[in-house]
Amino acid sequence: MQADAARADPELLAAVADADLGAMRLLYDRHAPWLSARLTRRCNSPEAVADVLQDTFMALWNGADRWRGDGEVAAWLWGIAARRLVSRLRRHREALVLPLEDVAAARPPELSAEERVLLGVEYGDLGSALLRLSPEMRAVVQAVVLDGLTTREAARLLGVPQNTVKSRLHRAKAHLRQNLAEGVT
Amino acid sequence: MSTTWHAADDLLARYVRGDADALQGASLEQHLVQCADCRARIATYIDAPPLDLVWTRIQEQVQAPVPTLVERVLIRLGVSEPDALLVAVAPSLRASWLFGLAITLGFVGLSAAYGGSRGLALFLLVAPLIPVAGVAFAYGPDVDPAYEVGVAVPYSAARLLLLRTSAVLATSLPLVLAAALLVPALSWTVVSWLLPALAFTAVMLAASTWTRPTVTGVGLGIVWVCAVGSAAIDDNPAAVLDPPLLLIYVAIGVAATAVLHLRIRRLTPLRSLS
Amino acid sequence: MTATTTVKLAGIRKRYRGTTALDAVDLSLQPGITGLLGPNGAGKTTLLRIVATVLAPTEGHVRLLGRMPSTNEALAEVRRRLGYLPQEMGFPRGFTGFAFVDYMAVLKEWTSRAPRHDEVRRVLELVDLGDVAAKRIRALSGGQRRRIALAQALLGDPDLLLLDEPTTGVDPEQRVSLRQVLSRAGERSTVLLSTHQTEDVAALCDRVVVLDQGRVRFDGTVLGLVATAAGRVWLADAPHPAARASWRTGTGRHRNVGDAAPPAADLAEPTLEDAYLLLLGDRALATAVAS
Repeated sequence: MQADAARADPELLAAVADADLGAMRLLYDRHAPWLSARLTRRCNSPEAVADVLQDTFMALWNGADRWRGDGEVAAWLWGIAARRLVSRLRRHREALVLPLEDVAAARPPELSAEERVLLGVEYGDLGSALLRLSPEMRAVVQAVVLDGLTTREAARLLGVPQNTVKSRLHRAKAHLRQNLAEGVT
Repeated sequence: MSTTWHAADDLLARYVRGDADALQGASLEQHLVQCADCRARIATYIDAPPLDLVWTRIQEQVQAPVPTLVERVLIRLGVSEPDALLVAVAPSLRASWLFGLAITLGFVGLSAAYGGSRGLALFLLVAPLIPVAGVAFAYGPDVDPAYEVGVAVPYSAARLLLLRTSAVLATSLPLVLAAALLVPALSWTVVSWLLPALAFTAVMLAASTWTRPTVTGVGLGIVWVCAVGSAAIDDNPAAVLDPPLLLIYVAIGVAATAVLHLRIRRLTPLRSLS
Repeated sequence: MTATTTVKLAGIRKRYRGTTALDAVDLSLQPGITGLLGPNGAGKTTLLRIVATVLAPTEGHVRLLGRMPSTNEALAEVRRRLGYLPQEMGFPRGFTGFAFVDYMAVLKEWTSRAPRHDEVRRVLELVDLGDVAAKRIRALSGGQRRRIALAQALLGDPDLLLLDEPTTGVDPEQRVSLRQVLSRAGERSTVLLSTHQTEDVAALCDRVVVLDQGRVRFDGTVLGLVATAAGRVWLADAPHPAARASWRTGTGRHRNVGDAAPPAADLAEPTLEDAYLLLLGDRALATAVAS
């Protein structure tokens, strides 16, 4: 067991490229939980999440040799999962939840001390500036900037034309720049 | 990005429940991609059974053998999945064999079309021996690396041999027929080669109750080479398909089938293995 | 305790092109693990093949699991409850470990896919190959291939398990776990284990049959065979010329196996290997040295 914990993700990935199912089991145990949580926050249907999770790891099994060794394996996995989610949602229009959309509705603009720390450490001023964007712009920022989708994939996800995504992103970035320049916290 | 900051337990719990607001969630998500410790900790808040279920599906999808092209075709034709698997394993029923067969027959057909008497002799030599080779390479200790362990199983050896032979005939006879259409000369030649072909196949099956298919195959090959060879020397290769001989082929086929029927229970060679 | 006789061979003779591989062999097996020891060419593989219904004897009667395998139906019945691991085994080209064991499961009449795949996974876990089941067999080591071969023999939890050199090429750690698998199998089934490794027999078997030149030289308990060497094994400072066999041990002293006591020697606790060497002499020694 200890020996398993000592094996880093890249090493396990190399073993998976060599058809080692045990190595993939270890990767699954490490990454499936947070992946499923992150997917669930974007898609209400448990079956869809299960299918996307299965597709993601099958893509991992078949494509483990394609990882170029740059960055975190976790980030690469999320990239695969996000794309699988998009293609699945194209086929079945499941209930879609975009977390940034309900910020204004759910939470008052007052930030608790903990949130201040969180935002300050992870995003700096960007976090609170995001709060001041409209829901549509926030959704675009979420998809493209935070989840790493291309503008075309984001367009498919949100069900809007690609040009709309591009223009919203452009406006969002402009807003953010302005907010940050004004020093709003 | 910070390396010493870790998500509080409360945040992880709320995030999994769906109670964390969008900004906290996004922030945590960006952190999780970088931090193995927090990824491990968040797993403790997530139900295992649904994840285990997905894993069993992944495991099955990874391990389950992918049906070959031949298997898929057989299943489409109504053969049961286990039978299709047993048939497709035979060397002479693999895609590579069939592809090589098509190429060979293309060459033989063309030489028959343009090669005159010698081309015709080549075709007549090859045509009935194709199913013979197919059966010889479908079954038996010389072509099956796991033959010995395959004897000690309850599955009927007779059924296996007949299944594979049917598949050999179904794949090779149409290919030979296609090549035959390129052969000029007598109209009957197009199909009369079927009689020695089927007779030899019956002999292969009957003889497999005595000896290994490769041995029988070689024997039949030698006999047929002599027959076609002697006819070709007289510059009349089609003589091997003269009506009196056709009757003999029919007789051989019938006799071999009868012998097979009588001895089918002896199909597992209980005598000397090698 | 009445133990049912699962395998009964009477008067078995097997002749191949002039040579007699087995001569007047009588054998009775009960549930539990029986070792089959003997030098190369003793006829062990031939005997195992006859019990596995892969070979018919030239003379003699075979009775397996209460039936005489003379008709096709009886043969199929016996084979349903039998698992066989040959001495040499090849695999079809391009197969993964899982695919091969799946193929054998189909031959053993597991027609439904889902239960069959579960059973394949079960036996692969037993031999500790679950992780590499998706690899092509040609990418596996010799010991791993041997374990794949053993896995197919374990399909369906057979009542009669026939193993010809199951641990050949298997590395020491795996050998220990394989012994556990076989030991558990021996609790319910009849296992006949052919080997030239006396340690495997000593570790696993209750009973042992020693075969030499086609004849049975010993048929009894392992302890009984060991007892025949009592008082005939010594540790001395030098090899004794009159000893049947002697070799230098790790402690620097020489182990002498024979009837005459070397000078200034201490009696040693006999092992199965000592007894085997005493029984078979030169032929056993030649095989032991070769392996």
